[in-house]
Amino acid sequence: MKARLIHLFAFIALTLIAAIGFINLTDYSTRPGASGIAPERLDLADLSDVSWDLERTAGDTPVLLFFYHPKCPCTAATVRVLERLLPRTKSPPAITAFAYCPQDESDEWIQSRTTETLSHLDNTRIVIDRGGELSARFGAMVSGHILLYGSDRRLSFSGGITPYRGHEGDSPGSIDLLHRINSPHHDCRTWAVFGCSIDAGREPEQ
Amino acid sequence: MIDSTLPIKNTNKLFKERYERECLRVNGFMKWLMVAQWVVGIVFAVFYSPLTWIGNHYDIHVHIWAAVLIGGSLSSFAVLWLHWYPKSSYSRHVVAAVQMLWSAMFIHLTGGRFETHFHVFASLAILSIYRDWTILVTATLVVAVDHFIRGVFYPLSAFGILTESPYRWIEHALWVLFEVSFLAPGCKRLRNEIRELCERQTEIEQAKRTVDVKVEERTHDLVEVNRMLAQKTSEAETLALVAKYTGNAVAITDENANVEWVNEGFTRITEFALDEIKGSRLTQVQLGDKTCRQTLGKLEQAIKQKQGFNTEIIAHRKNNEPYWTAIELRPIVGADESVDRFITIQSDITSRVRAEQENRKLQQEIVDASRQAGMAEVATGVLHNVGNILNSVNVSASMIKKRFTHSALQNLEKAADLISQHQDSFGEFVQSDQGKKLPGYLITVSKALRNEQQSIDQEFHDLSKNVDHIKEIIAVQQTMAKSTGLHQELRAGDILSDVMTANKESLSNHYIHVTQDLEDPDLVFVSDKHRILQIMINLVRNAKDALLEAVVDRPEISLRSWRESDLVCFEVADNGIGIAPDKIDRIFQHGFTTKRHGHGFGLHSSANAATEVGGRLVVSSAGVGKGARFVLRIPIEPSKPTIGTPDKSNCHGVQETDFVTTGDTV
Repeated sequence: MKARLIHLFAFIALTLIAAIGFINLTDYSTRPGASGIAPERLDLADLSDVSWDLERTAGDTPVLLFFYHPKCPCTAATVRVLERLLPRTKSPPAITAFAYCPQDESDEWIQSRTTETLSHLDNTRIVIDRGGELSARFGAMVSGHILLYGSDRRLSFSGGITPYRGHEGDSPGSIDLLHRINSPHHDCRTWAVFGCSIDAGREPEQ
Repeated sequence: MIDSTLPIKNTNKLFKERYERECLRVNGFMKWLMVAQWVVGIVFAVFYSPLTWIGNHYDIHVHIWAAVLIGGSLSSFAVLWLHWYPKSSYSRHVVAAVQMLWSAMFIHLTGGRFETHFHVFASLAILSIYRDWTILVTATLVVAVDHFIRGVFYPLSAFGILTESPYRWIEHALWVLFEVSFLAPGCKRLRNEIRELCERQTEIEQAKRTVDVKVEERTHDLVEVNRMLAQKTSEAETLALVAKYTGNAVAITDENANVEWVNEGFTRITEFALDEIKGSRLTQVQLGDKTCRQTLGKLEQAIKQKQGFNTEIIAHRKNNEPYWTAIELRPIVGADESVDRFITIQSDITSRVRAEQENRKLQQEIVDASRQAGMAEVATGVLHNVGNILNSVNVSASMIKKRFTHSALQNLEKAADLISQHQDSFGEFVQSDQGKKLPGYLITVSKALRNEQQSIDQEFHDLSKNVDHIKEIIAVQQTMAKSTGLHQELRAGDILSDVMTANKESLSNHYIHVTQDLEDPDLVFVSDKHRILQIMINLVRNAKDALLEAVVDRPEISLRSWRESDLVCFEVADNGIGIAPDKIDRIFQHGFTTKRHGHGFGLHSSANAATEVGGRLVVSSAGVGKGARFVLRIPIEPSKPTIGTPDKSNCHGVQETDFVTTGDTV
């Protein structure tokens, strides 16, 4: 009898741990990060201190700006989604990935699986975002934030493309992004972003 | 009565046991799988999402804690359940539920990789090794419930959109169900296959049991047969040893006495080896010119009539040497109750036959010697007894001669001569002084002659009695072998009187004083007078010789007679030389004597005579120089049984030797 009670308590405890854990995990995974306000037009963005000539590189193709934290594990899911989306586009956008790098770190700090994967994407360039200055200008506070500027350089898409944190797969955001790349939209739609904060100093209160 | 449901029960039992055993084996695998998944989950978390970042600050990722805590609780739940309830069917469902939760966990930990979703279907396949399709339903339900709950509370986490169709979870569950729809029949088919295997095994075991029973029965029979065979073999070996080492010649023939087998003893005795006589007729093999044809014919007749036959016959060895053999022919009855063989057992009895011949010859010689010895004994007895009487006869004759030599007849002749001288003047002579004395002289002579006549008459009377006694002794000795004795009424006083008469002169010549003491002189008994006299005279004569040898001052012989119950007793005692203790035991033996010129026959024949009249003669002596005492006890009636118990009432401290009727003792 005593043994059965011990068994019962043990199973209840384990069940509670698992249940609470799953709930917390789900809650954590579905909680989106904060987003700022991105420039509505690309030419309105202040890129004077950026060595890279965005306009000249992009030409008439849409411009996709990808802000990420190289160490964020959740962003890997965003990159994998992006990998799967690009083959489905009519013409791949010009991708610029802004890799956050702390001010006091060297450029090697951005080397990660995410950076490695992004570097292999077609028509993609990685720009080191020292101290997250560029991310701040574009209102990207969470790693995995994507901004799509159409051929007319108007903001068409802003947000994440994963269904929830660190979870790859089709999501409304990713589908919307694909549509906007293939057929220009004049409106702009925002989506929740799931990932690590790019810079603690700029992360808004949750 | 065979229970028809028994195979079904056995199949169910076997299936249950086997399935439980299989489940326990899978449980073990599942335990390790749970541990492995936990480890892999942690590895995934460490690999994919070790840290969570905020700028350049980082912390341990939630996935790490989730892998450790949630994964640990899931695996622990399953492992503990399997450990505590290994045989419970619920355990499999618990494993199914936990496994599907692990799929969700892995999907989380790997960032929702599409590849990780295969874990769901791999888990279903893994669960199918339980061969229990119901746990697949449980797994499906877990997936469905998980998606349902997520769809309700966290639709984005489950379907990636906030406004997904409320039935989208059903689609996911249906995909799972799709696989389950294939796995479940497979599980059922595998389960049925196991059951069929159990049925086959049950049938095989049933058949095996049947076979085992038959084998056991056959084995038991074989063991019994082997035991009997071993016993028979042992007996056969024993018989073979007997046949091999026996000194007898053993031969086995067919029904016509043709030799089939012989033992070594046969070869040893007859010198014929088996190869030499195999197939030959046995009676012809040992036939020879000294073989008794008549006996041989009887043997042949027995063979012809299929009967047993025993005989002793002279046979011939291989070198034609004749020998005596004892043949025992025995027919052997075969399975059809007919005689199909003979066994002959022969033994060489030549030595025995010769010994018997020698024995017969020796016996004849012994009989002849015994007859001669008997005749000599009879002659000795006759001579001894007659000799004793002849002494008395001789004494009587001497007395008569002496009487005649000193007869008063000479005085009468002197008187007659004197008368003759005075024949012419007899008248004057009568008137003379000398003549006057003549009448007186004649009267004196007449008286002397009268006395002399009476004395001679007495001697003649004794002489006549002794001669009669001699005649009777001879007659008795002649008929001793077949005589039962002449029984007559006797008086004890007459016996002692006759004994004294027979020894009177001898005793008186040696100045031996004889005393008689008769308790009842008229005591009458019936017995053989002459044997008793023979005994008593011999005893008195021996007493006289003992006195003469002892040279005592007052030689004395005591004769007594008295009655003891139904016995009449005679005693002859003397104070002579006596008998030494070491000799008294042999005093009645034939040939044993203590006298210088004795023959050792007197007491022996006296003892025999005492026995023959149904009496007993005993001796006692205090030792050398202290005299001897012989007591003869005779039944008053001859029909009375032989006395068997010696009377030692008068043998105070005196060794007494008894002589009883024991045939060969003497």
